Amino acid sequence: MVARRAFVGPLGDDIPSIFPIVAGVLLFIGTMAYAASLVAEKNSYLEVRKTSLGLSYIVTERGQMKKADLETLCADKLRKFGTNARVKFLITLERECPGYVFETDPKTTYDPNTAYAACSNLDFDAIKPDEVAARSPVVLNYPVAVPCPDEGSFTDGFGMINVIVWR
Amino acid sequence: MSERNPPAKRAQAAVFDGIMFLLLVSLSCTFVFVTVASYGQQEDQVMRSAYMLNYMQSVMKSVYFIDASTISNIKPDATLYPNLDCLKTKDYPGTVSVSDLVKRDVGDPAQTHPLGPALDDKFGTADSPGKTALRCSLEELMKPLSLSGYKYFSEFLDQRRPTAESPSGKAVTQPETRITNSILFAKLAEPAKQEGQIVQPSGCELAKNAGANVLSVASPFRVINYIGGGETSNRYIFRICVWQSNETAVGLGR
Repeated sequence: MVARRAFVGPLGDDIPSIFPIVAGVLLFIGTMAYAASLVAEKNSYLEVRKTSLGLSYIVTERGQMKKADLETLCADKLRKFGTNARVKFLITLERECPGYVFETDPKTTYDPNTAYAACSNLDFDAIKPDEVAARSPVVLNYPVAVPCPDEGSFTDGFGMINVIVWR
Repeated sequence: MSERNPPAKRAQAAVFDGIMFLLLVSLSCTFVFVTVASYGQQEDQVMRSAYMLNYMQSVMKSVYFIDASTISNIKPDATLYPNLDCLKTKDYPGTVSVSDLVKRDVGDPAQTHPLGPALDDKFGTADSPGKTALRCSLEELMKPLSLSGYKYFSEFLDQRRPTAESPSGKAVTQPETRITNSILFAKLAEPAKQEGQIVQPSGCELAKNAGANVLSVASPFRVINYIGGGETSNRYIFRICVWQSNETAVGLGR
């Protein structure tokens, strides 16, 4: 009589094959879930960038800007656009009359109280530069002509518009 | 019990099937990761280009408003911007913008410039530092791009003189120095005399033909000509093009 080896039973023989099948199913579902979250995160980032470009097109309509111009644009168009897009934004206008000087600490751009003019859909006091920096905002810069050498001058010199958008 | 398919071999087949399934799933997951890694790259590239174009449009708009006297304090890098003295614009009154000076510079009369207008800091024989004013203002306005490794070239095309190479118009001559931060293309775009005519190569076309990924923005630039008592309007195109370059001030990338 031949000895039967490795025979547990009709179901028992299939038990070892369950492990790779379960592992495969779990791996697949996990990958799909991870990929979906990556795509959602990327989409959110692209939406923020699109909104920042939209705000930029509004604010760079003209090559010249004074404080009052930014405030008018802010009330008429920028706040509505930003709020509709469900993002938080801060637009600052800086006067760089002697020429552009680039700060080593980018957070200095995130403070509306130190800028020549600013616009946001949040209260200025609620905007903390450290918190904004932690949200990895999209920052776009554009040159513009601003009153120089003084704020009330009729002559124009170098200025910079900073468009900062985050969620 | 079948002798052809003994129980041991049936169990072995089931495990083999399970492992094959796992391998196929792993392969599918690899494809998913590769796809997700490249998701959004094209949109990202398009938005990057849109930002660059918007930036250059802002530069061109600013040139119409920035006053000539406010750029006199700029001290440019002598290597990238040779023979550039921004103090020349110091004494112009506040009502004169950079674009006004450029229009006067480009609007040379045929009497003093029989070979065509030139950006030579002169209106006829009188001083009109338009090219200097534009070089100084672009040195500042293009600084963020310049510091990020981009080179730019600015030129004016005369729409009255289209050519086969440049249907939009012949480039206005830029003798001695060119409006660019590229030492290489400033040299390559040097005007030369050919058959009694001065030929000014287009810096943007040279950069494109050299294989650079060039982004350019152009806008109409009208110059009113009052010579002879009448008023005519000469149409030019003001163009700025940028491209990424590893050109360095010393050794040109070597």
